[in-house]
This record gives sequence, C-alpha cells and structure tokens, in this order.
Amino acid sequence: MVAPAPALEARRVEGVIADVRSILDGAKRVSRRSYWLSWFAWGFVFALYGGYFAMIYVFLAYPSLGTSLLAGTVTGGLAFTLISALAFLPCAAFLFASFYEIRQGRRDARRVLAGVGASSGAGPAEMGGTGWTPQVVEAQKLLSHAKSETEFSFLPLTLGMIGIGSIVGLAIAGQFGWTGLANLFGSYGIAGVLTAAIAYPLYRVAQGSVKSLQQRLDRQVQDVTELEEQFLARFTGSPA
Amino acid sequence: MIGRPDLFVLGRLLEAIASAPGPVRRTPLQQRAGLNYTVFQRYLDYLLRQGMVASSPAGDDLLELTPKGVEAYRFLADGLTRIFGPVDGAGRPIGERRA
Repeated sequence: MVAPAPALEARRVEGVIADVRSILDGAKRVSRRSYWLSWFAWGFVFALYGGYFAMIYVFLAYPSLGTSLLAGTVTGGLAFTLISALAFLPCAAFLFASFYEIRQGRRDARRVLAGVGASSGAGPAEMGGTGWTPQVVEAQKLLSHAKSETEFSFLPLTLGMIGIGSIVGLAIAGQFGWTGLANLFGSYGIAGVLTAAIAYPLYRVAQGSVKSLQQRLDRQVQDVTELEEQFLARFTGSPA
Repeated sequence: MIGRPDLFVLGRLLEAIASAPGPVRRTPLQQRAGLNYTVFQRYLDYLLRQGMVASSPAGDDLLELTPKGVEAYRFLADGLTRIFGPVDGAGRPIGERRA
C-alpha cells in the first residue's frame, strides 16, 4: 500500500532551485560589473594622464594663456578653469563610472545573499534537465574570473589616484611653502596617504562583493555534497 | 545509467509526483518536473529501480510514490530547505538568507 503523499504547501525543491539560479544570475551580474570596472579603470588612468598632456600642450601652444594665468588675471584664471575642466572631464567620467560599477556590484551581491529577486521556479526551458553541478561550475568560474578582473582594475585606479593625489600634495606643499626634499617627500607622502585612504576601501568593497558570493557558494557546495552522501547511503545503499 | 544522481533533479521529479493530486502519467509528469526527455527517462528508471516510485494499482501507466519515495522526498526537501533557506507558497525565499 502506498503512503499518502505529504501535504504540500509549497513546491519546496522548485523554490530552492530558483534560489540556486539566482546565485548563478548574481555571479553573471557581478562578473559583468567587474568587466566594465576594468574598462572604466583603465579609461580613467589614460584619460587622467591624457588630460595632463593636453593641458601642457595647450599652454605650450598658446603661451599667452600661461602668461595671463601667471599674471593672475581674471581671463587667465577663467581660461585655466575651462581648459582644466575640458581636459579632465573624460577622466572624471571614467572615475565616476568605476565607482558606480563597484557600488552596483556590491548591491547585486547583497541582493543575491538576501534572496531578493529569485525567480519563482525555473521553467523547463531554463532547466532543460540540468541540475546543480553545471550551474555551480559555471558560477564558480564566473566568480573566479570576476575576482581576477577586479584585482587587475585596481592597478590603474591606484595609479590614477596617485596622479591626482600628487597634484593635491603639491598644492598643499605649496601652501605651506615647503621646498626641496620637504616638498618632494611631503607632497608624495600626501599623495600616498590620499590614495590609500580612497583606493584601499574601494578595493575592499569591490573584492568583498565577489568574495561574499564565492564563500556562500562554496559553503552550499559543501552542504549539498554532505546531503548527497547521506541520501545515497540511506535510500540507495550505495556508498557516497 | 546514472553515475551519481543530481539531487536537484531527483528532488524535482519526486516533488512533481508528490504534488500531483493523484497518480500521474509519464508525459504530464515530465512536464510538471520540467525535465528534458532523456534526463527524465534516466531518473525515472533510477527511482523505479530504487523502489521510490511504483506503478499505481489504478493503472499500469500511472505512477505514484512508495513510502520509501515519500520519505526520500521529505528528506531531500528538508535538507535542501535547511541549506538554502525556506520558501513560501509561490517558491519565493522567506526572510534573509544566512550569509
């Protein structure tokens, strides 16, 4: 005689599969964010140093502008401001785009970890008979790639911030009237501190997004493997 | 032949049978489980061999869970829910997932 089927309030396994799918979707989103972060970061550093060279070129090509600026005229000041803004606008755009991708990456990872946005069951077309293993392997590959790409992005971001920080450092050194070695060490010391204060927390945020998904996936893989072993031992009599 | 069965596919198939209002035919079962034909056949044969699914007395082409199959389904559903967190009636996650 067959026991009556358990009363089901929910299709629990199907709901879990939706949750698993959301991790894969999250891994894809984080991977895409890392890809764009990499592009924007390199765009930032090239745009920054391109901006510097553009400024130098303009002041060499139009020496009267330099003269007006040094003379402290309003025209000179306005021209300098306008030229600086135009020269460094692409750099600023790339930098903000990089920050945006880091912020969105963190948001995407948090949404996955909180279970927000899981679809209410994968349909036949999505599952196609594939189960856990192919999806996990794909998610792990994506996350590993995202981690490498994020790390690689912080080289240009750091270089760029050193470039900006050195200008700020020189300006501060100039304000205090530091000269010679004091100017050199002071200004680049300030640049280093500023870079570390901005770049390092950003790096931690960006890597944290990827790492949190990786850790969650690794733990689930371990738990599912244990469950599998227990199931096989109990219901099929075959060794794990 | 299945080497090492995928728990999610097993659970999905067991759940499709368990959640049906009565004994179920193969074709509707395949659609309920959302599996392609090859995978469905392999896993159904596996469940039949392991004694978790049997032909219903109501008809040879009708399938239902055995007591072992019911227990296996409960074990899987409880285990997977414990790992991934509870879901509501529509299969949506309830509350925050553990980090």
